Parts: sequence; C-alpha cells; structure tokens
Amino acid sequence: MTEKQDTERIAEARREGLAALAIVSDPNCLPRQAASHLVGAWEALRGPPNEDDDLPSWVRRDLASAKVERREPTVKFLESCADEAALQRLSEDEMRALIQTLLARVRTHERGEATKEAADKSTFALWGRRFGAWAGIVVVFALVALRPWTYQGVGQWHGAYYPGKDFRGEPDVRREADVDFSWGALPPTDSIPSDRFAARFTTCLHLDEGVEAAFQLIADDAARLIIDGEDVIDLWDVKEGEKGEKGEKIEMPRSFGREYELDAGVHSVVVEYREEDEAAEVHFLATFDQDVPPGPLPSSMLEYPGETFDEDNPCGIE
Amino acid sequence: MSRIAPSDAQGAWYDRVRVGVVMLLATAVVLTFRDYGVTLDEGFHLSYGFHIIRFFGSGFTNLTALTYRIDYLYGGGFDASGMIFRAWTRAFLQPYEAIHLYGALLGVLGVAGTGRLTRLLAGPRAALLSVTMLATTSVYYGHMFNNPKDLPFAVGYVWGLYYLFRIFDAFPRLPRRLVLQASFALGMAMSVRIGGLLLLCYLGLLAFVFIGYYAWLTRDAEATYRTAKRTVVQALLVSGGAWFVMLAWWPWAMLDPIRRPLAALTRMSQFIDHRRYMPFAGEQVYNLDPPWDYLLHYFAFKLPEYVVVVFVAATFVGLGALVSGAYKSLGFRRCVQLGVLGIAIFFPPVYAVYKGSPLYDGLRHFLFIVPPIIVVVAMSADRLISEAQTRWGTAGWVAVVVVLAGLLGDQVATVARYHPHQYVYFNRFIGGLAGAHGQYSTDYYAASYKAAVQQLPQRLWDSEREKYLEGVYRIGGCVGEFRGLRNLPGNFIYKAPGDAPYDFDISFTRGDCHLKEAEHPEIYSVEVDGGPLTVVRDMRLISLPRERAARLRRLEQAEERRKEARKKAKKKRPKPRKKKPAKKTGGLQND
Repeated sequence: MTEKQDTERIAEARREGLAALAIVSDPNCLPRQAASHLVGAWEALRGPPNEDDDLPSWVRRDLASAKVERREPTVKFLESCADEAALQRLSEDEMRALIQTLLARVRTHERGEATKEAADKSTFALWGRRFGAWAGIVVVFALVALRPWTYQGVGQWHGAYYPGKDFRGEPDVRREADVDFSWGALPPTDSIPSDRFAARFTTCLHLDEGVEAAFQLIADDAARLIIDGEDVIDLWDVKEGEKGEKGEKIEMPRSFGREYELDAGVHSVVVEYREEDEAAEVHFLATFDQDVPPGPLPSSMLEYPGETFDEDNPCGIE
Repeated sequence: MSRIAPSDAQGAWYDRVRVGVVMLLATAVVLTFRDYGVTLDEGFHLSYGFHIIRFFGSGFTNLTALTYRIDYLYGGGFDASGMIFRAWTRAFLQPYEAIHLYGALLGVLGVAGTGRLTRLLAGPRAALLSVTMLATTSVYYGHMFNNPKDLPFAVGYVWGLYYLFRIFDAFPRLPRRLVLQASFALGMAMSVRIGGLLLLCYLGLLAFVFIGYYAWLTRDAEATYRTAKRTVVQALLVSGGAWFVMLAWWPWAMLDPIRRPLAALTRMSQFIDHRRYMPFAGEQVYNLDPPWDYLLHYFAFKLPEYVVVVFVAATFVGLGALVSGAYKSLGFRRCVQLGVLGIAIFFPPVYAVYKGSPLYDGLRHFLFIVPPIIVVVAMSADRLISEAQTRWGTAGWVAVVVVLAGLLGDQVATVARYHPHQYVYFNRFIGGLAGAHGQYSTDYYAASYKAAVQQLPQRLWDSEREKYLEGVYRIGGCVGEFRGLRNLPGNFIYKAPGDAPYDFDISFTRGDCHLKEAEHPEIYSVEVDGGPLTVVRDMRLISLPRERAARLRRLEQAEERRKEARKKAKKKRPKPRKKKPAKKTGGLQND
C-alpha cells in the first residue's frame, strides 16, 4: 500500500471516529447510532483485510498490543470493539471510551509508530510541566500568605508555673511565645490553681548594639521585671483592695513602665508574676524605637535559655 | 457538542489573560488579608465550624452543633471546611486571619467561576471582561474577606449556575464526571445557605424545558417518554448528590434529611430574629417591614455606576429581544440559558419583595446575584465591542476598549482607596460614602473597628508617653470587648456600658452610635471617601456646649425619624382579625 493510500485511510478513520463521537455527544441521538461509524473507522484503520483475520480479532490484537487504553482493555470491551451488534449493546460511557481509544489510535497512526514513544514522552512532559507550574504557583502563594519565616515556633520564653504564690513546689514548665496572658478566672495550666499561684518567665535577649529601651509591665495582681539580676520594674508589693498613697482604690490591672539603657550583648530577662485572687493577667511589652509604642519582644531577638539553667544567671553571661 | 467552543488563537490569549487576572487577584488577597477587621457574624460562625468538627470528631456524641444559636439552621459548608483550613494553618495564622484568607480564596474561586460561566455563554473575551469586572467590584471584593455566609453562598451560586448550564448543554446524557461536579457545586451552595435550593428548582426548570423541546422536535410520544425518563433520572441523580453533599456538612439536618432542610428554608424565608431600625433614603425604617424599593436602592448605589447603567440597558435590550423575537437567532439552548440567568438574577429579590421578607444590612443577603449581574454586563460589553468593530472597524473597537479600560481603572482605584473597607462602597450616584452616610447602612458589619483601634496606642504614645507607660487605659462604647481589645496591647482594658467611666469611646456609625457621647471631643475617626465609619472620642475631656447641643439635636432628630418610621409601620400592619367566640359545645375546646 502506498503512503498516499495510508494517509487517506487514516483520514477516513478520523472522519468516521469524529462522526461517531458527534453522535454519542448529541443528546438527540441514541448511542447505538454511532456503532456503524465506529466499525467503519476500525476498518479504515486496519486497511485491506487479510483472509484469515476478521475485524474483531484485528482490533482486539491492535488494542492489546498498543495498550493505548489507560487501563488494560477488558475482554468484554475488546470483544465489542468491531462487532456492530455488540457495539449497539454498549453503554454510552463505554461507547465514548471506545471512540476515544480509536481516536488515540488514529493519532498514533498519523504520527507513525516510530514517533509514538516520543509523543507519549512529550505528553508526559507537557502534563509534568503543567503540574509543576501549578504546584509552584500554589507554593509561592502559600509562602506569601503564611509567611513561615515569621513562625515563632514553640517560643523563646521558659515559663515555670508554681502552685503557690511564693515560687515553692514543683513547677509546670512549658515554652511560651510571649508573656501576654489574660487568664481571667481560669488556671494557667491544668495542674495549677486559678488563684494564689506564681509564674516565672525567663529568656535571653540579644542586642547587636546598645539601645535605650522602654519596658512596660501590666499585671493583675503582682509582677516584676528583672534584667541581668537587677529589678527594673517592681509591682510586687501592692495587693488587690489595697489603697494607694492618697487613699484611693487601686484599680487592677496596674501598669508600670520604665526607660532603661541596655548595652550590646546578651541580657537575661526575667518576668515574675504572682496571682492573689479573682482575675489573673500579665503582659510584658518593650520597645527599642522611641517612636513606636511598646509591644511584644520580637522572637528573633530572643534565645531560649534551655530546660534547666542557673536561675541567678540563666543566659550563662560571663 | 463541546461544552466550550474551540478557542482560536485570540481566544486562547484571552483565556491566558483571564487566568492572569485571577492570579493577580489571588496575589492581592494573600498580601492584604491581614488588614481586614472581624465582622459581627464571624465569631459565631467560627464557633459553629468548631462544633461541627467536634460533632464528627467525637463520634456524634458532642451535640452542641445541633443547637448552637440560630446557626444550626445553616449548613456548615463554609464554617466546617474553614475550621479544617484553620487547623492546617494554625502554626502560622491566628483563627480570624486564617478564616479571612480562606474566605478570600473562596472569593477568588467565585471570580474564576464567573469567568467560566461567562465563557460558556459568550466566549473568552466576555469571560475576561467578567473576571476583571467582578474582581474590581468593591462590594464583592470587600465581602470576600470577612463575610462567612453571603460570600461563600455567592460563590456556590455562580458555580452552581455554571454547572446547570453545562448540564443543559449535555442533556439527556450527562457524563458521570459532570454529575459529580454539579452535585458538589450545588451541594456546597446549599450547605452554606438552604436558599441554594433555588438551584435545584432551576435544574428542574431546565429539565422540564428540555423535555418539552424534545417532545416538540420529535413529536414522538415514545421517544419523548424515553428521553424524559432519562432526563428526570439524571436530574434526580444530580439533586440527590447535591442533597448528600449538603447533609454531609450539616449535622442538624442529618437527623431528618428531608424535613429539616425544608423547615430551615421556611424559617429562613421568615427570618425575624434580627429586629432593628435602619437608615434608608434618609428615613429610619423597620427591617421587618422594609419598603419595596429597599433592594433597588442598594443595587443602584452599591454597584459601580457603569455596571448599573449597562445592566439596566441590557435588561431593556433583553426584554426588547424577547418581544421582537430577535432572541431566536441565539439558538434554543443559549436562549434558555440566558432566560434562566435572568431568572437567577431577578427572581430572588422580586420574590423577597413580594413576600415582604425582612431585609437589612444593604444588599449583602443578595450578594449572590452580583456575579450573575456582572456576567450580563460583561456579555453586553463584549457585544458592544463586536458591534463597534463591525460598524467602525479597528477605531471603534479601540474606542470601546479604551472606555472600558478607563471604567475598570476607576474601579481599581476605588478598591485601593477603600482598602480595607471595600464592602462599604457607595457609588457616585449617591455621592460616594460621604453621600450615603446617615442615609443608608454603611459599616453595618463593624469591620472598621480594627483600623480605629490600631491607631490608638501610637497616638497616645506620641502625645502622652509617660502616662502611657505608667497607666492603664479604659476603652468603651459600641466597640465591645472583643473587637476593642483584640488589637490593643495589655495596657488597655474594656469597660462595659454602665460600668465605671472610661477614657476612650470607640463607636461605629450604625444606629448613630458614634453620637451617643458627642459632648466629648473626637480625637480621630476612620473615614473612607469622606464618610465616617468609626469615631474615637476622648472621654477624659468635655467639648464645648455648642457641640453638646448639636449632638442632642442630632439624637432628637434620629429619635423623631424612628418614631415616624414606627408610626408608618403600625399603619401598614394589618389589623388582627377579631376571633369569633367559640361555640359552646360542652366538650373539650381547642387551645
């Protein structure tokens, strides 16, 4: 058979295949009406028949050898491929799948068997590129949205919660991202009472250069800030219900702030807190920029002192 | 028939640009979602989502989701899936940030769905226009971030319409994949709001019209019967699938899968749990007895001007085509699809007006018809471009495109100007937000508190640093504890109304709340486009008597308006019928 004849019969197969597809896709036609076109397409694809090879056998062999189906063709499916009577019994989805298979075979014939492998590869590469592009886009969006570099992890503060208000007993220890708690009437941990407890928060502050910082401690009831062993803010003495200097009622929570100079290097920062009764809260704020109000200490400037450390020198400063 | 007409090279270019616009929108979302405030509904929806997940997680033993406020009448399609998203992102995002991101991404999906729907109906160029138009429609854009009900429903509605139209193209043989996709889209819409049942009604309508058309074409009773049977079965398959998807997110409805969703629908269509007076065209109206043109005003004033003009014109052109028979040139399927699109736009608000449903908060309950409106506007603009090209060649085409680009550019500038309060947008027909202030509901969702509260520490730090360090400030007003303290450091505490005096009053403009403490000087306010949203007052100072008098005058005027509205509402209400005395039968009487 000449090359021209080959081209013509493949074109014929394509026409028949597309006609079958059009019928199956047309809601006003019954799927079985596509059967004759499908048989015509297979016949065109096969070319002049051999005497000892009927069409169903040829199609079965062609499909089985080519494996153009995504799944291995089932026996029932293969048997129906070129038998018009069997085709008419197929469901619409089966018919549609068969037509798609046929058209894939037509495309393969058009490209020539030699190029089939390359074509498969290029299809794979195309889908791979698409998938890669979409995955990349999703990753970029996720990075921009979630900003994982701002993730504070488990926190740089060592928090120790004591069941008594004088720091005695076995503490509950956990890492905290920040000293910013409003417990209200609830206990800070499962094993600590909601009243008459104490807590100590410890971290190591790293400064690249000396700064004039402003620290602020807000607490209900008592709290103090200790930097490098020195009391910087002390709100430890006043209790709930006590009167102030002028006899006025002291309203809780209380706030006290202080501007304080710090040299470059590592500084141990300790916040101690004591709860008497009723509501409980403690907040520690700081700023290193005179134009910005105090806020939480950035975790990037802090270092966790470890699970165990010397309480007099938690950061091991020499 | 292919579901989408094959693209030529130009069509493919439009498609690529459309994807680019959606990507641009997604980029804007991920860069800005942290800026948005928490709205009044969000807290409850967050809790509801949590309870739904606990219902499943506890092996159906934790039943809080079955009785949680009034939320159990809603499916948890958004709330429960949002809870899952929050769990995934909790290492990086606070719960409200996470839900804002999730909602906004869903909004982007809605924009993409609008593009798909438009492409199906009018091709790639119209699809590009619709995506750009919706992405720059402030009222849609603003609601994407913090509306847990209306926006997700709008997304489900537009995707539902898209799949309905694809189903109509494929009737009576629906590919299994299409059945699954349509079931999911319709089910998700219904799982946010039971009003999504409308989509199933549209499906029934489409099936009915298809069968009728087939019968008319074939004039063969047996063939029609077979086709009708198949069509109905497939429509039922889609409906059943959608119902299943809806129930999967809705614990309360699972207990009685047929009756309870229908009971929720009845309850929602007579929703009377919110009762309030609200400004409307300068008067105070009662939300249970809204004027018939309530929605008309809001749609006219809250959509971009060009959208209003083009949509009204398109409606008249459509009606003209219907009367003159020009619609026939479109072909049967496209005609029916456009007809159903029209029904999807007009039926819900018209029915609400007819039934006298309670209305409040502007158009937010009808946000779901904004994307279909944009589809119509985009199709009209696309047609305009084609007409200009046909009549005046390239010059005409370029002229229309330049005008459109100008209009869209104006909307992009508006979205930027209103950031992050886009949902309060009012167009120039009413004079922008400044013109709408006092006349219509603006920041009814209290989203502007975040911006108001965030400024306070910096202002105080700048003006009274020593006092700032050594004292605790008390805030109060309509802001409430949660919204007030959420964005403030620990040296601020909240004082409830009637509690001890407080230092700063933070109140939004809804219900003239910002005027309640008007004798105290305003230190700053959150304003957009000249319209105030939230006012912060220093309660430690008393302003001049003149201001106090002005405040009292305003309050009196507001009270007068309320009284007037009450009188009107009373007049309109039908008098209760006198009961006939029960006949004495000597037996038991009914209660």
